[in-house]
Amino acid sequence: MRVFIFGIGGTGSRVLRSLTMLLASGVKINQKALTVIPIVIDTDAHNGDTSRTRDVLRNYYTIRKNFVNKTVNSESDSFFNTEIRSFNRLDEKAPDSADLDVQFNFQNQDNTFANFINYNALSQPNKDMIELFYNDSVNQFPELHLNLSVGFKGNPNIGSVVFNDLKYSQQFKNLESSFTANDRVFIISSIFGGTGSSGFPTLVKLIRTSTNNNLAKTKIGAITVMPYFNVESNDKSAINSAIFDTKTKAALSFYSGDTHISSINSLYYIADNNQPGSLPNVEGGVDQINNAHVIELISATAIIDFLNTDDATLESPRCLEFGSESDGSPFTIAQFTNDTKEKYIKPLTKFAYATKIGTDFIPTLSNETFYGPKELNIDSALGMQGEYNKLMEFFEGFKTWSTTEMGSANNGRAFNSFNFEGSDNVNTLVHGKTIEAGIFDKGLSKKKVAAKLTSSEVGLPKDMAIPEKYLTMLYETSCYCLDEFGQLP
Amino acid sequence: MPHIFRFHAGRNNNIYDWKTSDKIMPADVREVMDKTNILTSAAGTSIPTPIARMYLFKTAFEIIAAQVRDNKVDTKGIYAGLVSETLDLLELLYKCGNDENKFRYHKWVFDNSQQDDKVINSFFGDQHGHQLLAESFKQAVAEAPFNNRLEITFIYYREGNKELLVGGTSPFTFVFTTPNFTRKLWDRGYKPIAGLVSEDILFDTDYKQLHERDESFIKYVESLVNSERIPPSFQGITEYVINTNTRYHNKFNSTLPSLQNLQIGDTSLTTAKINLKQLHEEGYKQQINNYSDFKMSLPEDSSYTGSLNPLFLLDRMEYEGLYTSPTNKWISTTKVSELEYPATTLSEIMQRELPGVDGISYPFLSSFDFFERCLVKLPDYLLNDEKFLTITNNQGFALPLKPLFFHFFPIGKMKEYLSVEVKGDQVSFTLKIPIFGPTKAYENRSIVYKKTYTADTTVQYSGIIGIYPFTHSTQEELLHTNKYTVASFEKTNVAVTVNSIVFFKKTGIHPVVAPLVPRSQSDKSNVKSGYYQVNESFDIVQLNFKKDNAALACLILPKFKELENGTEEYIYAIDFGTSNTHVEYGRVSMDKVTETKPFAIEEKNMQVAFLNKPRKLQPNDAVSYNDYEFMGNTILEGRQLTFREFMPFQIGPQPSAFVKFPFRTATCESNSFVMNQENNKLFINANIGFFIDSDALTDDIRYSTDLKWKLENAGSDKLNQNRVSLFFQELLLMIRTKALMEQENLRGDIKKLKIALSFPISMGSTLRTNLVDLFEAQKNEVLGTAQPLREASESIAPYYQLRFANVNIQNDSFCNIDIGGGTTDIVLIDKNLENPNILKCYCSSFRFAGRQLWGSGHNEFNMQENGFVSYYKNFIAKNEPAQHTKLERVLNSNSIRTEDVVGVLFSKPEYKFKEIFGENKEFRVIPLIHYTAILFYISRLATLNNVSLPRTISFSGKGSEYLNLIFPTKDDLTGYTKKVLGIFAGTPVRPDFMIEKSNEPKVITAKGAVHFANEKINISDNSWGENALPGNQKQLSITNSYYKGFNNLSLEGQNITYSQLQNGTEYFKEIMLSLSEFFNLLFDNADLCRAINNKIEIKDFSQYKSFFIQPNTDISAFGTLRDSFLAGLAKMQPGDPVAGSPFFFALDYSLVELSREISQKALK
Repeated sequence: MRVFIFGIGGTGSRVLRSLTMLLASGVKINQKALTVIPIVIDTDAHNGDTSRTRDVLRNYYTIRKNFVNKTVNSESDSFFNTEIRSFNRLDEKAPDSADLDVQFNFQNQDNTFANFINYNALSQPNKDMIELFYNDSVNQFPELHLNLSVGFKGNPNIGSVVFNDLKYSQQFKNLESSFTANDRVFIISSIFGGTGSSGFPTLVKLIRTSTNNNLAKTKIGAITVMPYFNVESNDKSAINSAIFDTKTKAALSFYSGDTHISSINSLYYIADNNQPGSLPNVEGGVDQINNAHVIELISATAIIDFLNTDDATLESPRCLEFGSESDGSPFTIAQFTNDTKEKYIKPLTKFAYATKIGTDFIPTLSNETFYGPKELNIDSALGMQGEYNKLMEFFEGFKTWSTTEMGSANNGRAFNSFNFEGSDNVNTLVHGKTIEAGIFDKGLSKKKVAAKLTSSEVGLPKDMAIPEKYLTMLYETSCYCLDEFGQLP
Repeated sequence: MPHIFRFHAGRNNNIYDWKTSDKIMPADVREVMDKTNILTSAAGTSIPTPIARMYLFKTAFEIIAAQVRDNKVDTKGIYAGLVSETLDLLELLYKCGNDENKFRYHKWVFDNSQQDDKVINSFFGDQHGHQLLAESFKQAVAEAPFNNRLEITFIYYREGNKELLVGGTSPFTFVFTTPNFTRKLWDRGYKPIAGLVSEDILFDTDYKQLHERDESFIKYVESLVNSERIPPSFQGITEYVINTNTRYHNKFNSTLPSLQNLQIGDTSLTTAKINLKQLHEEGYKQQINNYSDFKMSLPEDSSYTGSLNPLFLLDRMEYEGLYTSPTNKWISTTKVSELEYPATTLSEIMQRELPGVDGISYPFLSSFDFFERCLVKLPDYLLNDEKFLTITNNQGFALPLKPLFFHFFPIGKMKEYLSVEVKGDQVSFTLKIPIFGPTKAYENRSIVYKKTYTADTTVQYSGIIGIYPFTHSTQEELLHTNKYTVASFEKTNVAVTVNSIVFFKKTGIHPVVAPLVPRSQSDKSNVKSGYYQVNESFDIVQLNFKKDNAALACLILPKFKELENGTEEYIYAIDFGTSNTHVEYGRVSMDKVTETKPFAIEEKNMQVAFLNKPRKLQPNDAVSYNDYEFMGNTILEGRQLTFREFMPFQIGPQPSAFVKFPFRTATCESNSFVMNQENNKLFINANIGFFIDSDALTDDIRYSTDLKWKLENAGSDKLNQNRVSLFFQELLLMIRTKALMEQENLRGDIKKLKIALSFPISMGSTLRTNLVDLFEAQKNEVLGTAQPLREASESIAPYYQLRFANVNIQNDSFCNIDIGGGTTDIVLIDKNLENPNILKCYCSSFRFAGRQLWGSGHNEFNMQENGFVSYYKNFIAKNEPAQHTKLERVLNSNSIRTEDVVGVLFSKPEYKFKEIFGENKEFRVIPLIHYTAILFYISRLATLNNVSLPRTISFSGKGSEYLNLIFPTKDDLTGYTKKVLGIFAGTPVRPDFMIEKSNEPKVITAKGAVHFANEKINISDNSWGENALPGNQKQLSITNSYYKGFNNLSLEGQNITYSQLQNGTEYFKEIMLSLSEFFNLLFDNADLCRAINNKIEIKDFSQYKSFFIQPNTDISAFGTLRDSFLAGLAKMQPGDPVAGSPFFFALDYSLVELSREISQKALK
């Protein structure tokens, strides 16, 4: 089964990033031979969020290719267990050298909306019609004269026109030609911005009206991300978070009556009203790199939830919401339900242990057997410097994503999950619960971890490839740590 | 309790992890409070469809509906703003959507109901962008409620030439606005748009919910959502209205007003088949008429008859009360700016929109509709409060009101509404307008407005106007008298001058069209005159000025003398003389003329009115009177113009009159009158030259004299016809007005008014007919259907006066000599032995009169030819240098006829013209010969008709005054006449011979004509005197009889033509013979000559014979008599039969020549 996951706009990108983290942590999905095909759609080709997501997806691809056995799939006990392919590699025979492309290049022009619709060539009544619906100011809140190079600036009424161009892109044509009855679609979009809220209904329309019946009839999952963060108030900016709610209300009202949106098989809603802090106000472009947010993580779990849902359940459209045991700001692991913890937090905790161990402990355990050149040859980066670095980069990225970003007080609702500090134990790695250390029992000390690493490595088959052995060792040690840790808080 | 990561409150609260929940519906999000009140377009773009903005408004209504229901309306929020904007647009359309000056509509349709991609993809054009646009619209209209067809009517708002797209129709909210409208409204300088509620500005940020609006509008919106078969798409706005009704039920108590569909051309403006409507204008107006507390309480006799009571509103007035409806009160910040309401005509005022609630036209008035911006001060005279309506004593200004004021408040009631206070330079008016209305009825309120004019808002007028005649009548038979001439005189070298004068009926709104005709302008004295001929009655005079290109105006309200036709019969007789004209009139009582009087205008019945209040004057003779002629020093020169060109204030002997009858027969004429014969309007172009004698001294003003004879040889000369006509017209106007202005019990009946006009019988019938025709035309014009003209003979007319004075003269033979300027008329009456009741009467007339003494012969303008004048010039320069200086212009003129110069010289005693006859007594010879020649004629006439010499001779005519120059006493005149007649007749005259001599001989003809006209004589059947006269008066059997001048009287009866009088013919010789006879009898009688020398103080009278008949010469061959005769003959048509007396041809110029001889001799 293949799932085409469209991440539209900045929010779409960021949820895809969280999804990548979840997939890296080895979240299990009850689908045999699942291939995730992420597609970023953003008119803003230089969006910082988008390029960061693109990088992390590329790393995932590289890591899985080099550190994971080909037989591993989304049902396996392993990090990076789910296959991710890019839509330009749908053909298995595509050369590996080709860059992983996750972005639809349907619209990437330095042009105003007026030029885009050939406004000047319209008749006067049609020009008046445009004036009736679009702000033709050139100063504040431009619409007609908005430069599309930085996205739609929260103008879905522009996006809804521009996104129709998607239909004419080569990528969409490829999608249409290759889509099979086994495939699914998931669409991530925010409702309060510009790109997501306009791309979403248009994309649904294009899919539902596709000439490929498989595509037109496919199971669609979608998440509509509603306001969950503020941006700094800036009089000159087109993005004004004060109006996010207002726009959301208008869009929700519209969605409720839209026949195509109503046909979505699983429509996930999410929002967070707890928004005391604010993110820097950036109108798209390279500078738009927002902190990861727990809402994005939860949104990413919706995709897992969708993939775990069988076709029969999806036959009739349904809407879903997400609940935790309790509210809290900052939010902590303890507030998730056991179900959530079991499905998503546990793998993430495992991956957190692996991250801590892989980045902080292993490089210092030169006395351990597995470290030596005859074994894993850690000093020489397993003999594959580039790939090893990508993994380390991924671990570092995970750290940043889970702590610095999600834990930021600026997020409105911070999510305190893991703590990667501390050099000789991982007793405090999980926020909310510390492994008690006594005089004799040092808990999950570095020494204890090292011993587990060694025993794990030794226990692995001799013929296992070193990178695979390395990642498996890490996986097993992480599982051990989690076992030692016991119940999540 | 789980925590659910959701945006809305939600219904399902049992959610753990991802769990199926409810679809979010609009109702779920309504409670979510907005965090902004910025009504930017950004909100409108949050829906992924090109027509997002339509949905935005839909959402707005849904959300606010919920907020109203829960009483949690975020009144400053964005959705409240969107709802408010929608209602604003509906309200504006409701107010005036059919006003083409405010709205334009255009229907736009995107129709994909055929689902034909080829067609619809090219809807916007063939370019890629156009196709994407079409694609997105296709998607948009595929949704409900469009059913693949989107129809929007674009709504454009207009202000003057500007136009702006406001919004369009919507199947969700009826209408919605563009995201650009409010911004452009401001950027493009549109005026704020007022709503139905006063001072509510539409489309501003002061959002108004439905219940805060005009109640009739609320009912209208309710009716919209209650429309039959309203589609479900309107659910949001419907809920909004229902919820509002529930919460603010008392705001829905109004009744639905009368409405009319909004129209696009022939079709109604609809959305989803629901008609959008406009308040039925009349219905709304009726509402204002019912509810406003600011309706003007107008008097019953107000000219305003509109069904709507106009409101009276002042700029930002602090008065409380309902304004346009039970919910709309007046707000004291409402501006009522003159700049916004420049309209001045009533119809414009009726059409203009109420302040603060534009789009609603309803009549209202404000201070600026009544008051002028500036006050016009009169020059140094006060307004004559007897003739014009004043508002205060000693009023030195004109009313700063607009005529429209009097449309609402009658002129007579002005003081009930307006008062004034004058303090130094400051003049303050207080206007008090009573108002009424339902909620303030008990207060008996008035709106008081005070307008103060200071030096800065006061302008100085430097002129005066006069109105003639100053009468008015409402009687059918006198309506034709409501025709006026309004004269304007003013200085030209001042900042403020009259631009135009406009006349209005008392209704204040009906101008009477009368263009200005400028008449004269003097650069020397910086004054000018202009005239308006107003052909119907008027009650208000508006003087319009221009100062620095700004218009100013003021009003004058004349108090015309109301005329009613009387019952009395009057006869006015006009003695239209060559030099002087006189009018006498008399009232007929019991068929008799009670008394005749010279025409006069006294103060009490002045016919003309000027603005100036008269000055009390008491000259040295201690006679005090009102001096109307003084108009202040500012327009001293202008005053001269009024005298010259317009009507005298008064006429008569009183000191307050500068004109007295008889007066000089002359017209004063403008250049345009002479240049173009079409310019023949009285006063405007020419008028009677009453001021001729004064003007002769000063200005080079165009006067025409000799009117009586001007048409003699050129009957169709239009210019001269005009002259005569205008002369008659003015006289007739004066007569008519006078007759109608007599005191009440003596007031004339215009239908009985008789006019008599006397003519010399020597006047040719052609000329006479001409004059009669011109006179009749004017008489019909001025008097309407009046009595036929009475034509009287100048010869016979005096007889009637003399008989009236002395009835005994009819019992003996009688002769009257009427010496005029141009003719002498003789009537000779003898006893009739055959029938004592019928007197035989012989009338005779000849052109030997004043002119033969006072003219200058061939060249009538060369006064040097006249010995009297040339002598006088020397005399006055020597004896009275001051008078000489005064008369210098006259005495050196070559454009004044010599006889007119003499007229001036005789006109005032201070000119001392008569004194030349004292200083140089030889001059007396000339009038003496003149008189004696007339006596010679009478004696021959008597002989010819076998009539005995008269027992009584009387004199009439201005010319006869020269007898006073010759004969110191009446006895001298009697003695001389008696003696000379005896000599000429060859037999002594009766011892009881007597002379009747009047001090005012000129008036006798006119007086007689009055009596004559009263006689029941039918002149048309040419049987004068054949009918019995009433009472003891004897009939006259009148015969025209001439002595042609033949010595052999048997030739007199022959019918001959002038050609037979040529030099050398028998007839010629006969005339010369009789001339010889005349001079021989006169000069060869030593007894007579001695008496003359003695009595008249001539050195040697007999010596003058040689001037006429030189010794040993044949006067048929040589000499002045022959020359003069032939010159006179040359003027006659040779083929014409001889009429009159050629005898006098010979004396035509000879007396003037003699005067020259005497003068030259004296001056040597």
